[in-house]
Amino acid sequence: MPRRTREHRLHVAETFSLEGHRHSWKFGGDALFTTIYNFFPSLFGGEYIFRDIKVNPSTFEPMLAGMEITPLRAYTHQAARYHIQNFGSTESHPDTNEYSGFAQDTIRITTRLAMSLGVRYDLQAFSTKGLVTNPLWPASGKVPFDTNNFGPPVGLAYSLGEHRPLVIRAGYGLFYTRIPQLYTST
Amino acid sequence: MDNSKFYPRQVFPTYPNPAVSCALTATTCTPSANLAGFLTSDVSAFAPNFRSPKVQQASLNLEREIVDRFAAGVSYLYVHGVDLIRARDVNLPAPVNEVYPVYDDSGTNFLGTYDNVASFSTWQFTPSITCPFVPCINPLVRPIPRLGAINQFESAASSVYHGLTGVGAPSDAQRILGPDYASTDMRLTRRIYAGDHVKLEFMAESFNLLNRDNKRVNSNDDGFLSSAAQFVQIDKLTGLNHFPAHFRQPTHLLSATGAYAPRQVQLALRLIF
Repeated sequence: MPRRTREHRLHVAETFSLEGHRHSWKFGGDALFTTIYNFFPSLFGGEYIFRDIKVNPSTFEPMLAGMEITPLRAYTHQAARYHIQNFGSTESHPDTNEYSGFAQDTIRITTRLAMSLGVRYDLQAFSTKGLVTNPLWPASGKVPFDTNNFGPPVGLAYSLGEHRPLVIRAGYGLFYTRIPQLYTST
Repeated sequence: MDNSKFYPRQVFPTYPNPAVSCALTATTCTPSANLAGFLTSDVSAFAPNFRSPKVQQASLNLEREIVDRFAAGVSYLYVHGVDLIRARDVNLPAPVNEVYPVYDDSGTNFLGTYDNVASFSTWQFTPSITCPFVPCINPLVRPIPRLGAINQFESAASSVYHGLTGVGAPSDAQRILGPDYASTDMRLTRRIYAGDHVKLEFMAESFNLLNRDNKRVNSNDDGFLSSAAQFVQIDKLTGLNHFPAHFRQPTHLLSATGAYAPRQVQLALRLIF
């Protein structure tokens, strides 16, 4: 079946730095606007599944108390066990807007030790365009909007020794992952 | 539609035609009236307490220059995913314990064992208008019978990854242990300065340097076909007992049937100016 996806993205990002005696500050933010048109007629052409099935041994018509045949033999006689077909709309618009911002300070504590502290915020907003709420399940047709997405990245670098020093780096972070648009296109 | 059931068989389309022919570029496809009794509306929805998936990541890296322009390092990476998305059908009936005999691949040889499973297939043994020839699955057993599956996206999955110098393995709470996997990778680079503004960089990389035979187990389940065991809705007379369905178990379950990539070597030359 044919399918096509048209995606438009607008990405705006800005970062600026401040240098001090022992501090290196970085601030930044970005916004990503994504507009999607998705045409996906999944199973709109139907699907046949050939499985073990009981058939009339003379006509090979499906029959409850008939002779059991294998999937390959069922295919040979075109006696499919299941047929599945989807109906409804083939189009979806899983648009999303993503925003993030961060602030980070790298502190040169000594000539051998540096520490990086920061905070990061992420927000992902979805469009409800084309989504329909089924009255039998009121939670359908709605999108998530989680605004409490703060993460604290921390990093440490230490240089041990004079000649050809051993460099030790350690880091920890909490990152919020984006939710794929697949979840709002169904 | 199940062609082995009486009523679906009355409207079952002829292979290879679909039940309803819709244009390839149609924006909607509408079922015909005679299919109304066999349609279910599947619903997808986010759980009310859905949260953004998040990942905790920690790393430790040691690096030292051994000789001029040759550094060696070792790194460890820990990734812990929480509130990861899991889809769960919340319109399933309460499971009912059923016993089915287990047969081999061919379905003719009884393996001498029975599986007691919590099944969603609530069998109906009394004939009715929707079930003229028993046994069959009662279609009205879902909590909301007018809907099919309600796929609810929940913040309910997690994962843990440990990686050491590029070697790692993901795991979770419901894992299947297969053959172990190990791969040694190596990369050598040499940069040559050919003037103030021109550099040549040679690079040699090898994946699975020791050419280890990493065996691969394939396992899948798409709802109809499963490599673990097939649930076949064909009745069996096992001894004196009649069962409306049975399992077929592959002979070599979880045996390796493939392998990951052998040693791979790639060479690169980069001119930087």
